[in-house]
Amino acid sequence: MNRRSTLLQLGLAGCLAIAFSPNAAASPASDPNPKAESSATPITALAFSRDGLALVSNGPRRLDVRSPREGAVQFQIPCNLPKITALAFHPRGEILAVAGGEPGVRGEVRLFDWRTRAVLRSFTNAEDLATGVAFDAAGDLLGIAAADSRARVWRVARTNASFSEAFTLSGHAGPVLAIAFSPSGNAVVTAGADRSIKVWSTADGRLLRAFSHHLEAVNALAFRPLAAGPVDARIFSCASGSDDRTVRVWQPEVGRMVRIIRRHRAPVFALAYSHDGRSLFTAGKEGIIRRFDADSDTLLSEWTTHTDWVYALAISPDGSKLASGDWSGAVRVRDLPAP
Amino acid sequence: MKRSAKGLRAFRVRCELAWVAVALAGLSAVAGADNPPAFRTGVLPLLTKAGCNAGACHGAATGQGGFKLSLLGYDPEEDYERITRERGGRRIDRAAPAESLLLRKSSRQIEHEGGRRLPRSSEAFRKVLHWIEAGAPYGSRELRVLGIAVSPDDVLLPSTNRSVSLRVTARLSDGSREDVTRLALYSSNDDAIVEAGPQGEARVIGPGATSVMVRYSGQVAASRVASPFGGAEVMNPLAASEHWIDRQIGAELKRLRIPGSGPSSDAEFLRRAHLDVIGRLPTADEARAFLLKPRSREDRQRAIDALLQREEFVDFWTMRLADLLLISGRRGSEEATRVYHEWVRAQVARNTPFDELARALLTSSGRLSADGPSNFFTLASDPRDMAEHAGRIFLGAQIACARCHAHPTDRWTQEDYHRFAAYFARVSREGDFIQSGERGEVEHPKTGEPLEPRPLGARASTAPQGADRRVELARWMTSPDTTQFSRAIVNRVWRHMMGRGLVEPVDDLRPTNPATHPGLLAALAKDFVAHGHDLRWLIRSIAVTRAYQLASRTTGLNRLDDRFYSHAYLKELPAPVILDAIAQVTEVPDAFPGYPEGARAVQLIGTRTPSYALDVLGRCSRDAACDGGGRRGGGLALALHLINGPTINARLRSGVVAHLLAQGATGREMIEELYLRAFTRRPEAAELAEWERMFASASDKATAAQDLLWTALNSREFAYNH
Repeated sequence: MNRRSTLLQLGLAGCLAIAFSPNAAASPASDPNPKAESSATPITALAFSRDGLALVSNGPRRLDVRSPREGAVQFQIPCNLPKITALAFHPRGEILAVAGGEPGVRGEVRLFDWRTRAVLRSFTNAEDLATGVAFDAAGDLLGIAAADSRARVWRVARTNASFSEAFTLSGHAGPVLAIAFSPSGNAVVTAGADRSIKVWSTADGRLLRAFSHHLEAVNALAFRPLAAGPVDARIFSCASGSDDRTVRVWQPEVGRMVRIIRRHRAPVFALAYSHDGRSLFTAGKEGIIRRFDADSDTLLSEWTTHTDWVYALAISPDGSKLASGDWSGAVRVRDLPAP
Repeated sequence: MKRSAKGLRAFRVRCELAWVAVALAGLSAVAGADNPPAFRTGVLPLLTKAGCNAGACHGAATGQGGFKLSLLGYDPEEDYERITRERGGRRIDRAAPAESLLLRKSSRQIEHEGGRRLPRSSEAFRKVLHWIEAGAPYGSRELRVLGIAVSPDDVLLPSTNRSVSLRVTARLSDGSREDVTRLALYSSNDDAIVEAGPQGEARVIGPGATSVMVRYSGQVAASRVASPFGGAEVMNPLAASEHWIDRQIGAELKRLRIPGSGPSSDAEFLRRAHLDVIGRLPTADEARAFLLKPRSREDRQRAIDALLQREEFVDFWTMRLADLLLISGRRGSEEATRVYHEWVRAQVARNTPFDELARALLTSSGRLSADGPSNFFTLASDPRDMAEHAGRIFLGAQIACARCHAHPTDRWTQEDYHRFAAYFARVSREGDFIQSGERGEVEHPKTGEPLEPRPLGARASTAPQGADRRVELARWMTSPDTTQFSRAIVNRVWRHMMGRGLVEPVDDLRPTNPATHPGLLAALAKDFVAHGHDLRWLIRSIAVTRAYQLASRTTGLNRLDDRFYSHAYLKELPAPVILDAIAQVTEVPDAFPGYPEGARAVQLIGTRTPSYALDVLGRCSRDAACDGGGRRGGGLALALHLINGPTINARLRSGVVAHLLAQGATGREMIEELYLRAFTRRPEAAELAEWERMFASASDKATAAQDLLWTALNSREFAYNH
């Protein structure tokens, strides 16, 4: 699999778990009744498995493996982290990274062998919750954001799936809330409660630039996939969602903010691009899921299917499903029409 | 956020006290164990009592450790969201409630810089745990605390180290009442007199009276706690006075067993009344005439009545109102400032009722350089700033805190504040014009929704659509029902005359800062309204009392009294008054650029007239409130200036000394004349003997007279109204 096709197949994870499909396209007219499943734990993490056969969410000290079609819990995987905040599948789909920990005490990321459900490895050197986790497009790097104001990047050895710490990203003045790798492979982006977005080199962990445009904490990041055409690192754009009720679109490797979407009336917690990069889905405190045209920022659809704060969004690998989860523990799966 | 080790220790000591209170609080607060407590009325008060949302902790503007709560819980809904939902709901764990970060931190099971706030063994801890176990519900959105009452609300304890247990009852929106004594917050307005304990004990530390402020769930109340100065009963002639003001002052002195000083001498009275009523000293001739014979109360009343009719009264009270209205000249053109000043002066001369004056200011429009009162709106362009000015000037209220959060010591919410500000939203300034239009809103800071104007403390506005909003505001503000309007101005005048406001500071009238004599303030305000908001009537009413005319000399036991009017309090002369007094005594007037010869400092328009003397004496710049009335300068610079500077030294040779020498006055005549001019009295025998010795030993009479004059003008007796 070459780098280009890897990018298109995998998409990239944001803070609160995002997955997307190269085949996805959404219709603003589509508004099917979503399927729902609830638990007592706020749903802060959602991810579809790479084969599209499972939707995984956090549960109370466990992972709930759900039907990708209606979200019903099919079985559980024990995971005794007091809080689970984010999920990310490795690009090859064999490993599931689970971020979480004990608030105020420690952060942890556990890697599960998705086939055997066995824990392969734990990363436990964060002093507060791990808030975000992401693999880079090639599957060579694992990024962990933590509430202890730092993010850490681990290098994955392809041969034996062993990990070595690449660098610690120190520079945020408050909890780091989101982490995402640029599809270019050159940069990793972090966002935090200190209202800043920082761009770091994946080569040496050097801080490349910082953006301080948001007025409140930045909760979520998502890179926009490129559907076709030549790949130029400079044109990769990344969306950020903030407590300041805005979504901003950046070109991190150019160093500029491109646009602001001001259609939200409350903080934004989760973002997901469709796999073709044409639509951007957002959700947050309002409990409303919105779909924007990623080029014009035109609001295409909005769905009020949750009655509480929505923390997580995920799109199935084939682009046909959008899953969302809220504070009450409700997980809803919505059909997205084929393009 | 890191604290210093010392700060952290102190902080933890406070925490220990807080959790003891919270532990006890839970005993009474946990009721109906099966019913989960509502967040607003059952959980938030526990956190408030524990100090979690205090200004030094998570109630700080930026929170602490990434966790922010509203100050003292003024915004329950936002606090609820932050506790239960922010950051993915990291602070509570509904699946394992005892593992919730909220509980583990507050009970210090894990490191918490704020220390142990909710011990695991406390009922308060269990109550919060119970709430999380029940799913952390908010409860009824409608249920809220409408008010609190504290009892006793006024208590006299027999001696120091005695205490009283206050009881606080909350009145809830569902009609129920709840004893919240253990959950309320207590703070003493004067720790030197009363110490307030966390469970509502008020313990007397020293003699006097002060208030204990009580706060609970956004509501405030106060209890006055007093202890007598002496053990024996004292007879106070004021208590038996024929004047109702004296009787109220006397009753409080009797209650607190504070002996009153004797009456002021005729000389003291004359000097005091002149300085207070017209802002200048009596001339030597006026003093001689008044001191010809012992004066009766009727004579003194006639003197006061005469002063109220003097032209200097108009100048002086124009200046006082200009201080209040901040007429500085920095916000408008020179011409506009002059027009504004002259308008105020005309109102004083005409004795315009104060409510009428306020209405004229609040509803003014027009050209700044032609319509004097319209300059009122140059105080600020932002309606919020304008509302703060209006609140301070006419209601004696400091409402600025409520701009960002519910007022921590008053009852105003953010919505109250911004609705009040909405009265000024449609006032605009276009060049030289102030106009009121039909557009302009003040938005709710959280929702962004435009707010209809509403008077402070009122439930609804009655302003008709389309009308000038300010008309409604002025009507409400000057209504007899709005007692804070009359109380505010009465309190200011009382402070001016008596040296201390019944409420201090004079721009901080609120339920939790009650007057030293609540009944007197209410009666004065009522009397003021009944007499048509007549400032002259008010001044006269105070000046004719025995209380006003007490001597400033203390009797020993009343030396410590600084608020019950057992003696006259020394009042520092305002900068313009003392400069005019120096000019008057020396007969060397100041020269103010742009003013005719002989103009006095109190007559100056605005504060931009260059005068080094006024600057060093500390004139009010009128950039901000100068409610103290005294001098704002002082210190070494002022002392050196008066000793060595030209304000006094340049006037010694010419003026009065030269005139007296030219008239061939004897040394004794010169001594008497200068004493009468500076102190409104003749020298005492010892003083006369000493100065005659000085005159005899001096190289010449002029030098001795200059020394006497210099000494008099640098004395405390001259610099104070006593």
